[in-house]
Amino acid sequence: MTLSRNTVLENIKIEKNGITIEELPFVGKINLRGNTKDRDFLSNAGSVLDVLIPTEPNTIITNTDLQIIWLSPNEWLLSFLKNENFIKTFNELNTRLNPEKTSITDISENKTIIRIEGNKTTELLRKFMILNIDETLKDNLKVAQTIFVKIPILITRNHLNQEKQSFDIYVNRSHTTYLRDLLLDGCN
Amino acid sequence: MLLINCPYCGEREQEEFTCGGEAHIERPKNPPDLSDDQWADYLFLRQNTKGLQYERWNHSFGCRQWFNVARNTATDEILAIYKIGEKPPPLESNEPLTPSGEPHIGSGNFSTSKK
Repeated sequence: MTLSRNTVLENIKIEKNGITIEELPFVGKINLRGNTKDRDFLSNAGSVLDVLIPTEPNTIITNTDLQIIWLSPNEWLLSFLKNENFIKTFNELNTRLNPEKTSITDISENKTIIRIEGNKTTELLRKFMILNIDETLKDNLKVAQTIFVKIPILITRNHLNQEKQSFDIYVNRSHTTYLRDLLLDGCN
Repeated sequence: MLLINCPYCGEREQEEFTCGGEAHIERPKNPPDLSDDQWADYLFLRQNTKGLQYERWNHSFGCRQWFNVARNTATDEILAIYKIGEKPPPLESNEPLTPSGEPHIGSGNFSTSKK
């Protein structure tokens, strides 16, 4: 189990008309599945991750080096902002959780993260998304799984106030250049 | 475009969802005892109601969960949404009015007598 050594985009950071589009490469990601009615699962996962996994839909819980993103009532995405603990946590989850009742999958290679920052980021995203961004992502640390034109994406809101808007888009690696090209086109 | 209120994610556009057809169709308890016609009825025949229909929907580009929707197929009005495993909620009328007062059976065939 190793993390990819290649970025998807050649220029991982591009700035155009006040909007910065940046790929965040080499982020370890784990897909975790389990039953929230199983108390052993909740307590063991909580003790490994040092934080309780979120049960409220469309929310994120952050730890010092980790984001736990709600995907569905029995599924979460663990995104490691610092990779030092990625392999250690992956192995520990496999040891502590019951393999017959849970699923732990390394999906680091499956998706990449595109971070968009700038004052008019929401305006830019509205050009391509049917999601009601103002309503669904109205608070910090909110997440939505939706479509960007026809691409399935997961989008998280990072900013606290509207002056410095920042979103992370989790997208399949094969769709990344298409998404980047559309965003750059939308910046015009 | 419909706005569908996913029981988990909240209100989203129809484009994120997939319709899974009629809901509450029970699998026969003893399939070997059925004739070919009865088995084909279970597999392929659906009500195709004009009016209130109970359907399964999947939030395929969201939380990927299945849920049930009570929808008027003539007006596209969504009357109720409830989770899989729950019983259909009591609705005021079993046959909501179609927009132009067409009969409930047939494709707008006004020669059919109205109820």
